[in-house]
Amino acid sequence: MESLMNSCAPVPPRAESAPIEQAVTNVAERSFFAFAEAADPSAAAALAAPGAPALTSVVRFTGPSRGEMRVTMPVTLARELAQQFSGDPTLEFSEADLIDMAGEFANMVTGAWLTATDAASTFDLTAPAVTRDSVPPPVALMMQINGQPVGLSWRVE
Amino acid sequence: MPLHILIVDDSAMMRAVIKRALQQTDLDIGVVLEAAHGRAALDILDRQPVDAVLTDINMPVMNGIELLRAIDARNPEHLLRIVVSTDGSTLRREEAIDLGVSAYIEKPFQPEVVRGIFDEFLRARAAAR
Repeated sequence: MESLMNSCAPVPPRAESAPIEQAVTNVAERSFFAFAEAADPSAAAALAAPGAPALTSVVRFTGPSRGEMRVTMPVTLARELAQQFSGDPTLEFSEADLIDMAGEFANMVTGAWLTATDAASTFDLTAPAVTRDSVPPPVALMMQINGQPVGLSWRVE
Repeated sequence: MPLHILIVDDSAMMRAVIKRALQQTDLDIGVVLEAAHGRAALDILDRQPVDAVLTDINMPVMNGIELLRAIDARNPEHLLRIVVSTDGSTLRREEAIDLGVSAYIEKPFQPEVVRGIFDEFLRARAAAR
């Protein structure tokens, strides 16, 4: 069975998105001391805009099933998470640091999601591929972390 | 005696966070070395003896399981091996334990977890003397 979530697809069933929402919440709270919550799909428009770029991280996985997870967040949130993650709100971060941070966040979310849904199996995850977007990408699940939008989409084969 | 530690993770941010977690403890930390993948870690281990290796699993070039296999083949008696990974599956944990891993930390993790593992290691090391 294959499902492909994008902006044209129907909203995913709650049973499919709930574990991902939980994974984002766990990662945000446990590693970043940040507050995550579900957001209205209309918040996707705020994900990326001219002058307010976003970072999209793609993590692919193989195992009993294969697919990919995409996580998009504003650069401003990547910076805030990096500060939280490092434990030092005064640190300055380079573009490379923020790309690393966004990718690591996506890596953690993907791992937490896969472990929660199939803890008996092992999955191999690729290194995150991170791109900078200036237009909002298609998303299937919108959330907010510390009030900033985070968009997720995923594909499972 | 200070603990010399090798951190292996393809994320520089994650390496920095683990290093910071170690430095926030009251452990006597010596040299902290870093590698972005297993191959680079083995190169470091060839040159510098360490007391503990903390490694991720999913990494380019040489992943954490391959690294642990290579370390295990060297039969290091007193090298503490810890996995820090997003992969929390039971199979992966069992595979790691079979390769001599003493602790498996699942990301995201709390820094106190690292401290607890090293405390236990130091107690065991002291008891063995």
